[in-house]
Amino acid sequence: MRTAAALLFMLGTAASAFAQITPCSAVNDPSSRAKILLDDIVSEASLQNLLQSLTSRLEANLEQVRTELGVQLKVFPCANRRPTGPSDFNRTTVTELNVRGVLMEVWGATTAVKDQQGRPLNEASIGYVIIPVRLDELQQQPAPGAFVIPHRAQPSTVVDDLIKLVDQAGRLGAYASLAVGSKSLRSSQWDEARKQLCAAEAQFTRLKAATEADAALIKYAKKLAGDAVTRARADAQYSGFLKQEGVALSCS
Amino acid sequence: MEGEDDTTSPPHRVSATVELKQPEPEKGIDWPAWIQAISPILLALVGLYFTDTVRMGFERQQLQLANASGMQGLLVQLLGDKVSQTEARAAASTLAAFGPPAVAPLVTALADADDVRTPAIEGALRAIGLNDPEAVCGPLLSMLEHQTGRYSWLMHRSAIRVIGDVGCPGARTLLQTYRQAINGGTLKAFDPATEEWKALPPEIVDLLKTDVDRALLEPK
Repeated sequence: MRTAAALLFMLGTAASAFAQITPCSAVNDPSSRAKILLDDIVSEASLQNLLQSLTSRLEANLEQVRTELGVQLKVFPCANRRPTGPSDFNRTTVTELNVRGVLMEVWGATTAVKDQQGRPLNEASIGYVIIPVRLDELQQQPAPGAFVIPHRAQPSTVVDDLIKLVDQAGRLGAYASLAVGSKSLRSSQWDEARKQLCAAEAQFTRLKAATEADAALIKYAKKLAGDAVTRARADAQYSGFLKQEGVALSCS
Repeated sequence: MEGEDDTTSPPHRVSATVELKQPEPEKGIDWPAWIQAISPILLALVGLYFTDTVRMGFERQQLQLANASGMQGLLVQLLGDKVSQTEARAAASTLAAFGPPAVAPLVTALADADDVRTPAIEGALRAIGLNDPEAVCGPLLSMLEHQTGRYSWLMHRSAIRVIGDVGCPGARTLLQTYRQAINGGTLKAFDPATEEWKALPPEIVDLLKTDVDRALLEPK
């Protein structure tokens, strides 16, 4: 039996070198049900000691979202956790993150490259997975819940530059609102869902350099905001303001 | 009569042999002889039995020790800080190859399991349960039955999912009772921070309800 077990183990671990999602103790932290995980930003330069600073700064950046939307978002650093791409976030992993109150996970990699004139540049790829949206995506919803945004910047490893990379033009706030709104819709909290989804739509519209993924997410936010009204009206137990006839399906 | 009167005639001599026959002894089993004959065989059989029992007990202990030693490395890997999803799956699947002895450590490992380890552990328990449902169902049903602070709602969720997949016999009643507790709002979770039992948030209640409903749909 031991020989068979050993063989099975060797076969199983043969491909392990490629998987990079490792445990993060914050995932099980019971103090928050609205978590944002900040994974390692993989870089040629050593950024390990900057992860904590980056986490604190992102927390501060999300303060506005917290105060405006009343969501107690908390950013947790996850050292050594390095997803290889959106495909790592399969249904099983996303479900497990969802039940543990993870709203979003951010990871990234920076590499030093040179432009055509030979000037050094930092090529960064920042990956985002918006957990409730990814769950929908895996159940036939076309909006992307996990994607990577490439970015080019002057070479630097200071926290300010990294924050610019991760929270490009404040899109982290838009993603967070969308995540909370989508999750609230799933738990039949119609008022909260409507509020967050409309806020997400507004924040997406304000983005200066909207990506293809952003365009799809605006549509998704609009659709869900309309769904919140429709489903609230159909809910016999609900008696909030969304049942009033004056409330339109669209946010604006 | 002629004979009666002839008292003076010479006596006849009768030559005969009288054989005194002794009654034949009853033919039965000669127990002492038998016992004497088979006692070495009996002794050998009894000796063999006891030797075998002792040997089997010794081998069982050796196997348990070998299982424990074999599982130790796998558990260290599964519970390690830097285990990847693939490594966790491989370690848990190999633990499943040990069969029922692996159930206890796998169930214990669920307590601290996260997004990386939970799917791997559930998969291993499922694998053992398909071969030996009793070995897996007993501990998991007991976990649902006895609500203590040691078992979090996440452990309950895993237990419900595996119970449903394995098709544990006798689980239906317990699952129905559990669903009644969910619907009635009486299900509570122990908060280690405040050491108090608190009602589960609606979002978690919905998640558990979905899993219980799915488990009840599984054919038993």
